[in-house]
Amino acid sequence: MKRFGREKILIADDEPDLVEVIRFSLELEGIACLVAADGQEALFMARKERPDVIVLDIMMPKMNGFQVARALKADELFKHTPIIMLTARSQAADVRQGEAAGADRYITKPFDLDELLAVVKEYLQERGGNAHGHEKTDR
Amino acid sequence: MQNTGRMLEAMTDSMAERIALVSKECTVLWMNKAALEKARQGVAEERGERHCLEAGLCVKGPDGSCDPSCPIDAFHKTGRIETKTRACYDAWEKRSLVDEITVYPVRNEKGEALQLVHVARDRTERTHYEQSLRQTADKLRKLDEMKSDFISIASHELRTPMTAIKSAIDIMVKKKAGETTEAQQRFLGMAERNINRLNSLINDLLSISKIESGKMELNFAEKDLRGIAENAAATLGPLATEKSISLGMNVPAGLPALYVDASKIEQVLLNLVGNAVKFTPNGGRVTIEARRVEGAKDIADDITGFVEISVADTGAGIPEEHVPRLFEKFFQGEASLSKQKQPGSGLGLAISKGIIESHGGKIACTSKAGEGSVFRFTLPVINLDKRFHESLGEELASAREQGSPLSVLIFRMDGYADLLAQLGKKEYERIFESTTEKILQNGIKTKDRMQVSLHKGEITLVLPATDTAGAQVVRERIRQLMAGPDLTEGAQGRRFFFASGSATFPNDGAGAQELVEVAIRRMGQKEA
Repeated sequence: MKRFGREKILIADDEPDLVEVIRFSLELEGIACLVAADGQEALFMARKERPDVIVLDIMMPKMNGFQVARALKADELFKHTPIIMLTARSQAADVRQGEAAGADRYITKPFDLDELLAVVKEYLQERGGNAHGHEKTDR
Repeated sequence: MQNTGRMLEAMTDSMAERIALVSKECTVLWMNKAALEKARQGVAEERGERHCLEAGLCVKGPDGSCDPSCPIDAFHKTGRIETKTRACYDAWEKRSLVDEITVYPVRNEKGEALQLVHVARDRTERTHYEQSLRQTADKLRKLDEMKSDFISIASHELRTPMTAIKSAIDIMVKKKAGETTEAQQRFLGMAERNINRLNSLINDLLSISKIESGKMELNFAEKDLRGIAENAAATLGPLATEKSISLGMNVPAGLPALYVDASKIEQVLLNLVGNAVKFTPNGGRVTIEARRVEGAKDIADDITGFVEISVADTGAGIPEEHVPRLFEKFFQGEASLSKQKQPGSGLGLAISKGIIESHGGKIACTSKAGEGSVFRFTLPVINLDKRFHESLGEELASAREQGSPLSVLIFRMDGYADLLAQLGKKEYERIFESTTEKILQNGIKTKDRMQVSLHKGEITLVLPATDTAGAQVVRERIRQLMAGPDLTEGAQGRRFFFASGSATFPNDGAGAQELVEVAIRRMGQKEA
């Protein structure tokens, strides 16, 4: 299994327990995690820390996941940052809204932890592989 | 003749309706028994002449004149036979009445209405019942909506804590949080199994509430039944093997493709085959079969027939009295009788029924005690070309009405037949589908997409309110998208080439067929 190095993930969810299990599992793989408990904090942390992948819950206080995703994707700096949306709702309309907001992936609760880890790792590897291409536009 | 008159009198007198013959001037010429009884004060004079007001046929307006909603008046004005409902107060019986009144003309040979037959039916009771029925129905509907909302909110709210529990257990089961003893693992396994069971119960509740509220979303695509059946059989294979049940499949290769939501149909098959395996004793047999059947005569003309899929088992059979109730919600006749370790939600068959019916099919069961059960369902075979052209025609009609343009955009995968042969149907379908999905999600805004038809390597988009220039923009955007690296994933680096062409109403043609033909003619050379 490939161990990761300097990668940073931002997890934004107002459910501390859920954040904890995700954080624990990612850190076990050597992936550093940043945590935000609401939408505004997520946006602030993203801009401050420039995470490699962002995991967003939809239903969050202050700003919901769609709003955060839209704000980030409108920003030249985050255009290529993968955003994974978590939601308890499985309605296709939500999925479409998520895509309109620029989310790259959509995962429905209750998800398999392995599924989320696999998606995160896939994005990290992709970014690692394209590092040179993205480095210029991103930083 | 006299005899005829007596006969007519006997007939009309036997009727509950109050019938009167009235002149153009509203003088009552004759009344049947019921009308006479209503008129009361005139009974002594027998069937003499008087104004219909006096005969109780009419009610007075506020100024003492005839009722403005008088059907006789209405007939004179419009010349049409009209039925009017009139509420009035019956001073004799001291109660409110609702009458339904119809006026029929008695015409001479020139067609002029000389006299009128005034028929009044007492609708008081019926109106009363209708009202209370409506109120009850409204109340029930509201309750039902509340119930659906409750289930769906409750289910959604349950999902977040469930995810946390599931993940926490998962971490421990995988020993990521340190070593566990064998006994701990056993109990963790128990927790994991039960959280999964709870999850499927919640999913079932959500599904049924979506079906009942008509909010189930279906993603239709052209699909091969064989693939769906194979998936279901593969999932349940281990369970069947565990019980030494032979799981047979007889789905002929020549069956027409179905236009269905494959994941939902697979869900139905999983339910039926799962039940069959569950209720068949060790060493038994479960068989999935499919065949083409003729449709009824009165089906929609874009349906060319049906495919019938059956799941037969060699189980104990279902008691005759339970068969009609099998598809009811929460009915668990069979499960409660047998010693099932893990009974389901009792919703599986009700969900299956909802899914099949939303596809335009039917589901039924026949069973014989001691011999086993057969569950059968049908799915329509749809002529996609016809359906597409019909809905394109509808779009065109509304574009014409609104005076707005409409464009048809067609992409055709190059070498469709070769690719299909090389990749195999399943792999080709998977790639083609993910391609289409990407195009729909990224290539066009929801606003300009109205409709998509995809089959035989073609993607056809109908873009309402889009003119020639707009169609070119969408076409360019999709071409760029197709040239991107995303679409080659999973296909061993294979690149797909699409030819594309578009046509716009009204510039390029007025009819559906015409537009499609122009777009196909314009398909250029190879474009990445």
